[in-house]
Amino acid sequence: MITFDDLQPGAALGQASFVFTQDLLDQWCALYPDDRAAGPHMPAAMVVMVMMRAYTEVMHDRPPGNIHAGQKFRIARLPALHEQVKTRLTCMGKELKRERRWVTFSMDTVDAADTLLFRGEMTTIWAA
Amino acid sequence: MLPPHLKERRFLVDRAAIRRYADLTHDYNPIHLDPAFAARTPMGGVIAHGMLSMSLIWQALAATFGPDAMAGLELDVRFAKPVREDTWVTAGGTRIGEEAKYEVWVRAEQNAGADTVIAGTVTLGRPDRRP
Repeated sequence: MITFDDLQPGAALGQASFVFTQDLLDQWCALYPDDRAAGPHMPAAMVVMVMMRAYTEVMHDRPPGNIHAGQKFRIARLPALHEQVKTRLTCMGKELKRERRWVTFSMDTVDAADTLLFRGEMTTIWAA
Repeated sequence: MLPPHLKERRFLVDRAAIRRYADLTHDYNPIHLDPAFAARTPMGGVIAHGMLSMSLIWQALAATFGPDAMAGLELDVRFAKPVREDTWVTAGGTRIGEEAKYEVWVRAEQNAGADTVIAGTVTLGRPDRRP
């Protein structure tokens, strides 16, 4: 299990690929029907699906009970249908504050030409 | 001319939505899915994924400005309070002065009122990318 002590600020943690398919869009829109209007591009809300799938794949051995405390996103462009993207995960920083273990990750999603599509910064309270 | 308020969006956070969101994002943290585990945490019970409710902010933005207005957009939020199962949440926002910036929020119909569970700001992209 990855503990707070294991996480090193500035460390590249890994990357994951994602293909934006019609099937995934349909699954997303089953939960959020309003997002059907975004086609043929990815609805902006779906960036969380790209980001969290990369995060859970790279950080698969994380402790149970982590709490998501804050989130930033900056969007340059949203993927088109069938586009393959790649998300790189980095530990931006960590801090022990009032007996809570705060960890911030950055997630940069790029296209096939390595151009940044969107960036997420996720702050969590690490459970162990 | 930018509107003073975002078009609000409302959504029921129930067990089915939490489960579906977990399947979409592969986030199976037991604090969202396992009542016995969640009861033993400081949260005292199951809480929904923060971004399940946060997604409504994107939808309020898309409803207000159209889905093509997302390029260059920056969002910064904090998850102030947890959302419990079977709770209606509403997302909206108010323009800050004359800036292309909005104070955004998600409020939950819980604790006998409208709790602000997510709060933050959204800055729109360049003027030529806006509607």
